[in-house]
Amino acid sequence: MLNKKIICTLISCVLLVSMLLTGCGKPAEVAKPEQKNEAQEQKQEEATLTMWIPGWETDAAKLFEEDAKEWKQKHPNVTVKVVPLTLDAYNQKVPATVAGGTNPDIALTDIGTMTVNLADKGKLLALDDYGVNEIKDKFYDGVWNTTMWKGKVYGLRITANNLGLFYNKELFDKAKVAYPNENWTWDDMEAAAKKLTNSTDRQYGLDLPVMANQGEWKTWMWMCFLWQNGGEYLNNERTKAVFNSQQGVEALEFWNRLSNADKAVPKEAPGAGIDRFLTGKVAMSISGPWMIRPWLQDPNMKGKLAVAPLPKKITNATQVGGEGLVVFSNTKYPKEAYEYVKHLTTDSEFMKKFYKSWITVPALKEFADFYKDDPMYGEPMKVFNEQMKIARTRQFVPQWGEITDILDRQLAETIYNNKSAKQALDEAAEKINKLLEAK
Amino acid sequence: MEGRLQTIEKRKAKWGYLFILPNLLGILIFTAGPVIFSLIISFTDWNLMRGFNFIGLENYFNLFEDEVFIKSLINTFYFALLTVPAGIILSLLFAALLNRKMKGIGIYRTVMFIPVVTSMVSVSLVWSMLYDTDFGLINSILNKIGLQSVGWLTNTKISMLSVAIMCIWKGLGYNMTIYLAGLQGIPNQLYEAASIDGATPFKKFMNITLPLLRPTTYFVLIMSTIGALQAFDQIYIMTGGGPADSTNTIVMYLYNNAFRYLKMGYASAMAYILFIIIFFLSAIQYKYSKTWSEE
Repeated sequence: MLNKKIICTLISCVLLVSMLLTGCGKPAEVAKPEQKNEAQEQKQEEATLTMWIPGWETDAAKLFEEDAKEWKQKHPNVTVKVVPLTLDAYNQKVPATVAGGTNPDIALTDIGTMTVNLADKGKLLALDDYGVNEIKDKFYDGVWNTTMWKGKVYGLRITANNLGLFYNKELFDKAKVAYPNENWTWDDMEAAAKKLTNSTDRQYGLDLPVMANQGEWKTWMWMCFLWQNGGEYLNNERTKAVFNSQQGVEALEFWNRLSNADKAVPKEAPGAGIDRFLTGKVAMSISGPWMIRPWLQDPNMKGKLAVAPLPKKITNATQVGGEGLVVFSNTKYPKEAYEYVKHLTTDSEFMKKFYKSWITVPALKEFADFYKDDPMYGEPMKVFNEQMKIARTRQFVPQWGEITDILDRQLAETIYNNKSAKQALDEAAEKINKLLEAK
Repeated sequence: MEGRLQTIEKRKAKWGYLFILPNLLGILIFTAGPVIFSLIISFTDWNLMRGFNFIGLENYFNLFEDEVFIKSLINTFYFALLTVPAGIILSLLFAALLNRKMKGIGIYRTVMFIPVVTSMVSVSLVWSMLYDTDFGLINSILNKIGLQSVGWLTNTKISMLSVAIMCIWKGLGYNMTIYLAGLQGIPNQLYEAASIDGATPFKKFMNITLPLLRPTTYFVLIMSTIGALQAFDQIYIMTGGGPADSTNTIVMYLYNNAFRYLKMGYASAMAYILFIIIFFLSAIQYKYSKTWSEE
């Protein structure tokens, strides 16, 4: 009888403990705010900062961890805890924790899309009071503007990027088509794309993300074409959509022609794990500097890869993207957090190490020539660096995700359902205007 | 004696409760809690960040003016109409075929059941490759026999059908297994008696098998309807709701509203509309099943 009792108690204890362990996922994270409190009580001046970074950039994650150790040596009262999170849902996890107040002090995020939304709700720390404007001149204007919301600065960029035209030299040679150059126009691109399309080999001239996708990829790229044609997305006050202009209609008609009449663009989403550019199924692909390393390192691409600026219509234009560091408004140590973020985004020694591991366009002007003599990355990076001069910032608003999907839907209506470009863009603009008014 | 037994029973019951406590707590915290919470926030404009504003039924009214919601509602019913009847008929057919003694029957049944235990994510990924217009297996076969390529997932008129075909294939084994169990519960003497009366196999199927399978059919019908109305994984992976919303379903649109636009209140209202629809459909089916079994 006694034995039975003991066994029962033991089993229920084991069950309870195991439930706690599995049910709570990451107990260490949940406990974070308490730890901070304890640390503060023990020693008043001691500041502990938690910094989240996406863990998929493993090399960069290591750099951050090393740097946090060095920072501790120089600033004994500041401990930075670097937490790499390898999560596909990183961009959803950050706002979700903000809701529960379990957010970190600092996070590395996609600046713009997420930060405007958080800043608008008062969840991010405006850095203006801590002297951020002193370092404004170090950054490209296009880069700096992406961190702004209602006249205040809500983060500092650590990486920048823009969109360029990658092409496969071998396929161009085979089809006897001249390589793209910086004077290329839409017509040049269309003519080349048509020549590079070969239905028997199932080869396409150009890859455009026309198939509906989760996220901003399609509208982000289409906006470049809108700008190249002299169009604008929203009005200056960001209260009204203006992309349904003649310029916008032409940009959509251009995409539609490439996809349907010319059949030079695959209308399919690329299959899982299939890289159409790498496998030679498309001759040109529009993408950013983050693709340089994976494509250059692939044996299939050896000696074939080159990059050109995006083609122009009336003018040249491309998008600014990239990641940056933000400080959350509920941090207990705003000053310390700002100092560390400033160090990570502007310290020359750290930046040198950082840009060697994360191949992208430096956000700082002084590093414009950073990859100049690099035998591997020098040539393609030169194009992206040059393009920083014409790279533009999106006119972010808090409803950005929804606006994106409304336009995305109507672009698809034209390309997949033959709706006229004018009608599609008018309908999108009408819905977006309603949304912007409601705010 | 009586009293002693009761105390023993009570003591046993105490241990019983202790044993189910971990699961019970799990259900209360992770299921019942969120269910009630989402009902409350469906009457608010909560966006994860700021506090609540009670806005009454506004979310629910707005839903019926939202074209995309109406379209995804229609799409969801269309998807259910495509998958549920076809799934039931096919699974009954395969169950009848596989309900006999023959060599390697275990292998056949296993083959039918494998898609069920494969994750929806991997199945969807493989099928999107099969459906690829230019490089997919299905179009290569069509081309070999002299037919034109079909844009399985890019043609807005058939993209939902393509997703539905995959789902029928994936769900077949599960329903078939339930039907097999039902078939094996039918006493053999009924068939023997019918044979003596000179009934043909078709007549036996219509007059014995089908009526006695009614409870099974009822279960399969309800489960597949609920499953179809909640379609999400396959849509998320294969089409993302596109092209041009042709495969957007309620749950897909709900996900976008909740986790991409952070409109938690609006998304919760959507979830409750879906709940009401499922509730009524199940109630209707339940009522009919009663009249069936009374016949």
